[in-house]
Amino acid sequence: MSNKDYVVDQLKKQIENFETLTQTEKVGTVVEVGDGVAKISGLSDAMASEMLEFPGGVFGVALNLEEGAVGAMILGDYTGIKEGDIVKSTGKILSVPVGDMMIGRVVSPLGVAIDGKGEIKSETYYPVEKIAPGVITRKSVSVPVQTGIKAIDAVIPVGRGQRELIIGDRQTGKTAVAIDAIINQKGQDLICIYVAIGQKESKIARIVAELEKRGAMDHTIMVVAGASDPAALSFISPYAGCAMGEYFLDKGKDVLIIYDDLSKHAWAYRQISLILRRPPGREAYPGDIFYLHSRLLERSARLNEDFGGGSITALPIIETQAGDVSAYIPTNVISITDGQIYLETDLFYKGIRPALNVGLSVSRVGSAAQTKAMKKVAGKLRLDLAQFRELEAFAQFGSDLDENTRKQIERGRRTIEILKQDQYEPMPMQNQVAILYALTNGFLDDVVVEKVKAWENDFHKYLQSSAKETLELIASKKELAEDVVASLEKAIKEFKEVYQSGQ
Amino acid sequence: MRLSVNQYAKALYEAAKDKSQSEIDLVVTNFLKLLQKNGQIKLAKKVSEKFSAIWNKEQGVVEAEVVTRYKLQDTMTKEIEKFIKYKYSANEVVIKNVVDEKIQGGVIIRIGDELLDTSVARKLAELKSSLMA
Repeated sequence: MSNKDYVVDQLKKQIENFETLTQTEKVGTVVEVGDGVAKISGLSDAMASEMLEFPGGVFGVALNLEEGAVGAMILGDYTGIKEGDIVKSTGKILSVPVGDMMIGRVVSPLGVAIDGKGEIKSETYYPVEKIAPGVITRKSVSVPVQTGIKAIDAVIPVGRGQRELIIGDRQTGKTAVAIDAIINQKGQDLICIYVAIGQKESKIARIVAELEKRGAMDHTIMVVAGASDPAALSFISPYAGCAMGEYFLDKGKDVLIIYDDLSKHAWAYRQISLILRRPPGREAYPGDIFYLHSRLLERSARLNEDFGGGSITALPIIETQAGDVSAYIPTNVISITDGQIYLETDLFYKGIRPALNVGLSVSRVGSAAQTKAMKKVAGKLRLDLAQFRELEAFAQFGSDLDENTRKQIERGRRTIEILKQDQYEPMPMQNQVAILYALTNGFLDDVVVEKVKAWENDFHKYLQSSAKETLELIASKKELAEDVVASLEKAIKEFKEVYQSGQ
Repeated sequence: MRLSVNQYAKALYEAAKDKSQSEIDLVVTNFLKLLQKNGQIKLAKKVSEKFSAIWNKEQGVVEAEVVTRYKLQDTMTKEIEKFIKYKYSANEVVIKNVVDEKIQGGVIIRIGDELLDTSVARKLAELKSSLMA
């Protein structure tokens, strides 16, 4: 039998065996359509957040259940929907496809591929809204997420299962911090999910290109609700991204989710709520805006071994207006998260990048989420920075200061210099420990501030070529035992000799 | 006293049931006067909608919208009536026939919130999606 006949035969069989089931369906009629929202009469037994099917295959979600009518948001193109259209209820709660095949893909909040690399077929679906893991399933945070950024890994460590807010004005490098953290997970065991909420498509394209260039797409899922997509999609995208992460959590894996950004998410929800005529509250946000974010971020967790031992770490991003952290949404999210990374415009323009305000940034999990080696060097670093901040005001008096104060100021300047780091250049933990050890133990005190950056670059090159064993020792043992310290100090001294003679 | 549409409709039903046509006319006139007195005459339309829903429910009347490709013949109408009477245990069936060529064949019966779609158009769409999968 030829190939053609085979295909025809198969088709015939399929058509012969085709059966339709006719059942009564529950339907309603559209009585009102607003921007992305429809009011439907009928549908008397619709459930809250049930999926509804509009003509033309567009789906919606029932949000308001009122006497005689249902208010629903429309997920997708709502321009074709008109008054009198028949809406079917599906009996299903909104779910998204999940699975390993999502990794490396760019998908819409409904799990549909939008990167042109073919359809995503999945058997498994997870509900978009899910109750967060309870107390008995959890465990305290103890394993670090290596972001590869010195200032964060040393001073404000992020642990697996933690929720660390990245907050700052526009153009202060919030996304850059998050992207660096993703890039640094290359070859590690963390699966990353980047959720873009109402972002410009050009920005998303740039991020995807950058991640692909650095081979970071192999462990990353991008969930994208663009600026031109309906507000309903922006609204569900973080929940959808979290559902995709929960699949890996249930498999006992570690996941890092970045929500970029939750201020736009709040705007999208405000729009939907106002069109649904829910009463506006402060800044016109609806009454449940706090719960909107708390139920999302509470789904980040570290599970204990009995429940698979997986984790979801969340890095939500909030954009402030003119540094106002006491606005409604920033204060809400600050109170929900376990700490914040605070980025400032002033620092950014001073050339301190990442523009981290080390004083205002905190991590409520603290050093529990640091390797022993990092703990050892970071403790001293924090002290140096705190002292420098106190004395900084006196720095302009220069020579009038006593020896001790002058020394502390000089050390502080070098610390600031070392904590600067270029974008897309995450640093492995062992290199961070080595340079911070050199810094806190005074090996950089005789290097001119302007040359600290160059010194550091050459130092890493030297370690890579001549003291590889030391680096490997730190990486494998993750602590600074006496023999490791000795070999590290030896390497630093050797490098200083070579460096000075080369000058 | 402010009353809701539901309360008005129920009261009107209670007043109008088991009455003759002339009595009902009087009840309706009095009812409209009451609405006006209460300053809620704008509710009249909603009350009348609600009233017919209650009336149909209490008297066992079912209104059905039947969509067909061609106009329904008498024998078919009878069959459909029989089916609906059996399914909804109704006393009386009011059929509103809508002709729509787009369904290509079969019938679509809609009663209130419920829809029974046996049209050829839907079956074809289902066949298409099953072949594409």
